[in-house]
Amino acid sequence: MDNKLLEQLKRMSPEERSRPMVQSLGGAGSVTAEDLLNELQGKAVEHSDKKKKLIQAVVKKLA
Amino acid sequence: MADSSVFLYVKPDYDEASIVYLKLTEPVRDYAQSIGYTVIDLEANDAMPYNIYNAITQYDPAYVFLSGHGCETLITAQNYEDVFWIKPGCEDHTQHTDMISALSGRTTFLMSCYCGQDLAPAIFNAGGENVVGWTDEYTWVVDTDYEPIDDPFALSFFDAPNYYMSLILDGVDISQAFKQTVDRYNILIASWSKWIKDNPNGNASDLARSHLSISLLAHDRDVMMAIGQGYRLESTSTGTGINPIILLAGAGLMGSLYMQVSGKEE
Repeated sequence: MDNKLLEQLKRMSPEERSRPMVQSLGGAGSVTAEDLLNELQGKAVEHSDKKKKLIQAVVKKLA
Repeated sequence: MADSSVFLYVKPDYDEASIVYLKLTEPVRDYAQSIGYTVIDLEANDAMPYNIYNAITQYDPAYVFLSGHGCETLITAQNYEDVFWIKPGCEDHTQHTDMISALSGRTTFLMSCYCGQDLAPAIFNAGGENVVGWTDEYTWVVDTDYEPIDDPFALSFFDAPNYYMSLILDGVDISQAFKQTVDRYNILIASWSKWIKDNPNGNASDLARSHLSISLLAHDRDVMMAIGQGYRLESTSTGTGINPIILLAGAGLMGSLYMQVSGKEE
């Protein structure tokens, strides 16, 4: 895992974490810092299948 | 033979990703115009399947630039309408049109997610001159504090694909264009590494986006593929190599058989 990224995500304010951070052409909408932080920390959050797939694809690339 | 002076540019705009960020592909259209191509420009509500097929029939473009949401077997146009498709299509799509033979003899750029897996090889096997696409999510980092055209994060993600298409329009060989595009990705990654090194006390939002840009640019670089006569090009995990593949179109084979130079079958 990219610990430097995790460190910065944790430093971000709640408002900053709620802003879009990643987009894709898979039709999944935006991923926020909060989405990434939840996934990196193993928190269970409901998402659409497409968005879940995108978040997991992003996090996988941080491993 | 397709008209090598004609470039078809397709850019839908119906959701945040397409309305806001596909603007960052416009330098390709502008570059084509600047070097003398006849550009057929289908944007927004003009980027509909019928108009795309009609433009291909009417103008016979040698170069087709498609952008939009997609999956392994499908690329869409305006309003998520299927435009080029092979079975089974995407799970939530029902309006299927199989028109990939329309891309025969043309260079096709699939600016979309996952299309490099199945659709790009299918277009090539249907007679496509060469095709480029991405085999996984095509992602980019955004900072909505900026206008898209000023967003340094988003801009860096569209730079390399735009560069590839510009090289192809310049007549650069597909393998050279691919290699130079991988190099371009590496330069972009290095620039974010340098920014982090030069700004150790930057704000958390910028630093997080910079770290993420390094990872996701490497991702986009490593899932880019191009397929043409005699080649299937993919970057290596280091992003510096290309794996040429010898095309073995043997009689009696179903479709085409590809074999890496190393002898490993795909």
